[in-house]
Amino acid sequence: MAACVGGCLVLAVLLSLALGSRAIAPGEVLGAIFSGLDSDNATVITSQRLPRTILGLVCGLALGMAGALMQGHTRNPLADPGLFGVNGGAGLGVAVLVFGFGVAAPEAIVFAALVGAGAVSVLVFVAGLGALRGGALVQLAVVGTSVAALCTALTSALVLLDKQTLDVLRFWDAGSLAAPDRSAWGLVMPLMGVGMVLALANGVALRELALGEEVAQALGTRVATARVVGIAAITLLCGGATALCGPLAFIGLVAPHVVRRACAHDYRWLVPLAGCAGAVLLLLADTIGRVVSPPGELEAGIVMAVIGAPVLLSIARAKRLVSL
Amino acid sequence: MSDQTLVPARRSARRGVRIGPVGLAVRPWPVVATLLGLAVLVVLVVFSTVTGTLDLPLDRVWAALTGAGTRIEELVVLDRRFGRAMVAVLIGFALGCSGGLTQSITRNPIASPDILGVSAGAAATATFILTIPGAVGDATSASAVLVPAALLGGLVTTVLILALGWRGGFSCLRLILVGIAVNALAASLTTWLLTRASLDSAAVASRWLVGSLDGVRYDDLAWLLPVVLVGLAASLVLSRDVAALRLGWDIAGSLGTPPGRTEGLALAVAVVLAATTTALAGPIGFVAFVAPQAAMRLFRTAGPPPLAGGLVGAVLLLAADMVAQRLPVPLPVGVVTAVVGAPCLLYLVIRNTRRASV
Repeated sequence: MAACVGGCLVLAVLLSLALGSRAIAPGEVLGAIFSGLDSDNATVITSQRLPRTILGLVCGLALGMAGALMQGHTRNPLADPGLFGVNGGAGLGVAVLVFGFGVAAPEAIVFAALVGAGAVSVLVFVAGLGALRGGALVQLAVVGTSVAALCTALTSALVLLDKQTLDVLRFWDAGSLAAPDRSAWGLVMPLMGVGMVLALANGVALRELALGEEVAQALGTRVATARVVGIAAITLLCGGATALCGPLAFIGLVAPHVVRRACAHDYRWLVPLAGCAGAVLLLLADTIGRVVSPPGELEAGIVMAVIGAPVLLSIARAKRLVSL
Repeated sequence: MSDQTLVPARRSARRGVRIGPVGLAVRPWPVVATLLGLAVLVVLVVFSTVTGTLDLPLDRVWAALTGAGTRIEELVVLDRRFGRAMVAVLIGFALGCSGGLTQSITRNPIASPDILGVSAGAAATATFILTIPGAVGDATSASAVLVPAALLGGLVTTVLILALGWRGGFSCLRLILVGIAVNALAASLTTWLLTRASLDSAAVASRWLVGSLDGVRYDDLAWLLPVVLVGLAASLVLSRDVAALRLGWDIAGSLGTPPGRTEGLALAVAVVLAATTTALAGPIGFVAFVAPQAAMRLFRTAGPPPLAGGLVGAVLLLAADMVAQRLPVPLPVGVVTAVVGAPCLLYLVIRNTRRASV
């Protein structure tokens, strides 16, 4: 099964490199990357498409893993960093920084995004774990969406006061892989790498936690440590992804569900596989957005909403709403 | 009548009057609360008419109100201050009333028109209109285009959510989840429209998207007033049926109200109220949710009351707008209502969670 997901990932990467406003044959794509082929198309691939594909790969991995972690910790099938405002919190952090201090240095933006994402994920965890004990499911979704609404309202207030910020943020808001600025990559990608390692390690504890806190404790899991590691991983992954390509919703919701339906329920496998599925989704969404309305582009975030909302609808319309 | 044979009457906490066979409970508190609410509203309107950035003495304000002032005084006092206060009152009433109706018929404190997609749908269609170059000529004729478009968008979205949420009956839970999904779709449509627009119309549209009373003019009262009057009349007519519906579908039926008809009518009125305000002032968040809940607690009623919710909504929106205007940097009123309303929603949800019920 893991091989199948891996195959999909390779296919999605190839598609993302080959398709665009100008379709390039797969042989030429491989030649451009591996044997240093020198042609116009090769230049397009190495300078334009490759960075974009790498960005999609990393952010998709991060968001898919973060979604699996959130669903595992809150035991809520609706958990998604985008819907629950973690990405919105990161966005608010950036807006506060840019507006309040006039700083637009990449390090500062990354830091602000991480702080915002961290604050919201702590809040969602507190509300979500409370809801878990109450046995109710929808509360967390409502808490998450209202936190997201609050973040959006505050962000737009800051944006409204400054037309220049609006011009930047109205594209950033849509969630897109077309970000031309690569100066923050060197800083964010290692942080996201740390987040991924933490997430993979957290998968082991989540497997026990899925049996309930008491059972997990009896089996020797340190519950408090596991929660803290989970929050740290989600913060690093979501904050980083949002700092790089804007708030993307639905990837963290859809990816774990796809993997669960296809193969794995064990969180040790679910977390990495959900990451791969997230990368496939984001790359596909981006490729679709590039192809569907030439000569312009549809932002990946908008394509993801069109793909993701029906999935949420199908979960909502299921005969019985199941808790994880 | 043989009163003596009955079980000895318990002393009821509720006082009442009895004339022959007809008994009536007297509940003085709602009357007192209504009068208090109206008094606060009048004080706020007077305050916002009298004070402002232009320092006008009281007698000049009075002169402007009675038609004896200069043109500038009349413009400031009548159009900018009094007109704006009236708009805030009417929009606040419409939102609170609409929230009270939807919360009552779904028996769910969270089901405000925002969750049911009215605002998001109305906002998407209105953004569509706003970002077509030349579709909205000058500001005075904007409402004539925006109001019908937003009404249509709000209605379509609500029908969509209700249709998708229907599985042999409405589960509140399912309705909320479907609402979140459809709202996300509508929001991404709006974002897409914004990225396609020119920077100037994007600036106009995104200012409008937060919910602001800046663009609302005195002439818009002509749109607002009839809609609010219809809402008021409908709430009066429906209040008994809606109250019966709070007890549940079956009990409402056995109390002699047709539950399906009541739900349909109340929902239609709520959608018209919410969509009209969205067309005029943009989606002002959280008022429709907070006002009926606050009214329920202030008026000590059994459920969220539509009319009292409207009164509280009017007070809330007017106060929020006064705060928003008097900040060092004037903000759209939607920001203030979101900052006040979102924590209220969180509190309510977390408190409800402890009771382990939706």
